[in-house]
Amino acid sequence: MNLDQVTLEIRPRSAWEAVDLGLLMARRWWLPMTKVWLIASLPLLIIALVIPTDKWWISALLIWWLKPLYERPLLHILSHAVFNDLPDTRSTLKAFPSFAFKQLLLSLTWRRLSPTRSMDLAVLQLEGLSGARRQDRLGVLHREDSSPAGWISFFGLMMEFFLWIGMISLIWSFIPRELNIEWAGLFFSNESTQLIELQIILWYCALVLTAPFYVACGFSLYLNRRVKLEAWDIDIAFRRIVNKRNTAPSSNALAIIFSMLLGLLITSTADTAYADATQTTAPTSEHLPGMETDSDSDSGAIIVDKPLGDYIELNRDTAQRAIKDVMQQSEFSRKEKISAIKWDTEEKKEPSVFWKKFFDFLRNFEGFIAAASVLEILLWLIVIALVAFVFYRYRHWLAAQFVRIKPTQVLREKPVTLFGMDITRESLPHDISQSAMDLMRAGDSRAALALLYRASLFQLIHSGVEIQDGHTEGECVQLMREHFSPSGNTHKTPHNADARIDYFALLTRIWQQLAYGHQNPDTQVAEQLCKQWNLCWLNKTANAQGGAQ
Amino acid sequence: MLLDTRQSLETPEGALLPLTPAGFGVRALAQILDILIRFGITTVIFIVLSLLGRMGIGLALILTFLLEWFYPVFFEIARNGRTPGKKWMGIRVVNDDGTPITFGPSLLRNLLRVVDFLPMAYLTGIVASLCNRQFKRLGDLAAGSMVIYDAPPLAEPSFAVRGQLPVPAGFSTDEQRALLAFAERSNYLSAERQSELATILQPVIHAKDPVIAIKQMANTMVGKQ
Repeated sequence: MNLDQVTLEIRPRSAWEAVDLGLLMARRWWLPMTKVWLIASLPLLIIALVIPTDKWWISALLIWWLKPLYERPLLHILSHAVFNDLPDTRSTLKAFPSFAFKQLLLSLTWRRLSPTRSMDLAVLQLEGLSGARRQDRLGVLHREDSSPAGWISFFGLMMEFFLWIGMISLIWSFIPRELNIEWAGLFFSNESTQLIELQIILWYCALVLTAPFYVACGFSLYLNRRVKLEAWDIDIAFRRIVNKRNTAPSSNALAIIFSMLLGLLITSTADTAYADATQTTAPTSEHLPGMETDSDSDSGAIIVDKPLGDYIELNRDTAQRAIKDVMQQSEFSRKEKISAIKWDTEEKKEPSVFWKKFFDFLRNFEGFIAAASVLEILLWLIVIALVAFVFYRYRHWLAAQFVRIKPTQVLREKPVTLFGMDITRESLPHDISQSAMDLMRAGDSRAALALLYRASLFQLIHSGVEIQDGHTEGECVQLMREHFSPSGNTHKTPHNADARIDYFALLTRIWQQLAYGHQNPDTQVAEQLCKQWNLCWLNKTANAQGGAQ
Repeated sequence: MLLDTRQSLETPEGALLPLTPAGFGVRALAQILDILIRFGITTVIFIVLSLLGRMGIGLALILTFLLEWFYPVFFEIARNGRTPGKKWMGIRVVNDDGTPITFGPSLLRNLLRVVDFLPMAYLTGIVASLCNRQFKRLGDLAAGSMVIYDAPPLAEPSFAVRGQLPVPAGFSTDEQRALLAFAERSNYLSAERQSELATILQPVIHAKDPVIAIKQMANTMVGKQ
């Protein structure tokens, strides 16, 4: 039994994880364990079957009750297999008598129902402890991580029972329905002896199936506890460290250490391996005496005057008084003078009678009903008014939220002067073309074009083009184009809109050249413009003139 | 091959992800707890809704049905694989590859609970879980899920020794970890066992008091004074 040979991954596990390791162990060594269990307990089964069937529960109980005896060879196998020394069936059976009778009587009587039986078996069988030493050892082992031991006993029992019922119902489900066997009769009737023997055999099978797992789980719990208490994993790791560093030189010394630690499992290392639980109790009790002397006191005078530490009998009242006395000393208190106005309560009596009468009168006054309804109406009116006010106050916001209202058109005044020129009707002559022509002939082409331009602007403004004070000449042309464009709104466009646009564009260009560039226009073009003005802008007059010409 | 409960999944990056599948014992306890919780809720539902007469009973039956079937699914999805019972026992459900359980597998494994329950008390599930290394019941096998232990919370180490000592050169990570484990678990070891263990290392560390020396090395590793 050498830790180097161990076939488990040694590390401290949680309690339930240790149980799971037990399940894995049972899985790996299931076959040898089951074989030994079957061989060892076969005589018992035969005895159980020989017992008359009307006492069938005795046989069932007997098989179950003697389980601890047949768990011992399983533990023997496991304890060797863990250290890579799996015994064969023959040697196990040969060794069986050597451990079968250790404390057997105790195991089969009052320890039989111990819930931690699976975990405790190793102490008895592998460590060979008994009596008080065994109890001490169990106390150490059970200090932690032993709660699953009880649970696996419970689960094991349940498993045995359920497996038994499960197997019976499996067989029953293969019986054709035509045979019409009563379900309850299978369990409870004592008529058929074969059936009862079958049930006992099934019970035995259920025990066979659960025993390896139960023993392995208990052993694993025990092992885990020892791994934790004795730090086997650290032991292994430290040995590896040393081995790696001086393989050759001090192999002799190593061998000695090895031999010292051989047989960790069976030899009783219990004495050195007690977990040191007392370490954790912190010396908090030191403070207690001091606190007691503090609270020892009799009365205020005594506590102040007498030196501390004298023991004085005291009761609750004197202690209270002492505390009060101390608290009233000037160090702990201060006096305040508070002045405030208070109602004079004596004069209040008469008015209170008056008010009482008044309220009594009011309580019975029927006019209140009418008043109340009036008040109600008033209140409702106020509510309505408030709502209305709110609607009015936020009408724009509401409109913006729900209704699209066209913003009210701001009426703008039509400009009177543009580009520093008068464009009122009064400032314009009656016949624009003629006046312009006259001015042209007089040689004042600037005045003539200015007149044409002013008159054109006047016409534009009054035909609805929104020319404002800040617009430039170019923008005026642009605005006019937009205003009369075919895609434009419902403005009624005159039939000669294009002609007007062309005319105005040309006039604007020439006027700009003259006004800002001081370039005299071509006389012919200027005269043409003068003539065309009436034609272009005043349809009727143009026609009339055309007719006259 | 050493027998171990812990199984390591290897990620594509080559990192080992240690998972510890939980066996039927701890899971049975978790299930018992969950059953008790469900029983409590069902009782309250019936008491309250029976005040509404027959309609109330009908509603209570529907609610009980939903509770019975979707209680584990809900908690496994919403609580990272832990129903209240599992949380109590420190276990949780994950996918095969260690990722958190998702709706599909959770639903499947919980619907197949009925199969695992047969013929009674999860006998099929227990037998199935003993037949594979991940302790999977049939529902887990079908859904590709498994139940693992949560990693225990790490405790603040306290070695009850002051001072630092350098770790000898050439100690590998595993070897340093062994030193640290010695210091961390020395609270649970008797003084005799401590010196017994520390003496093993004496040929390597050559210290006056190997126990204190190892703890001081541990102080160095965790950065304590």
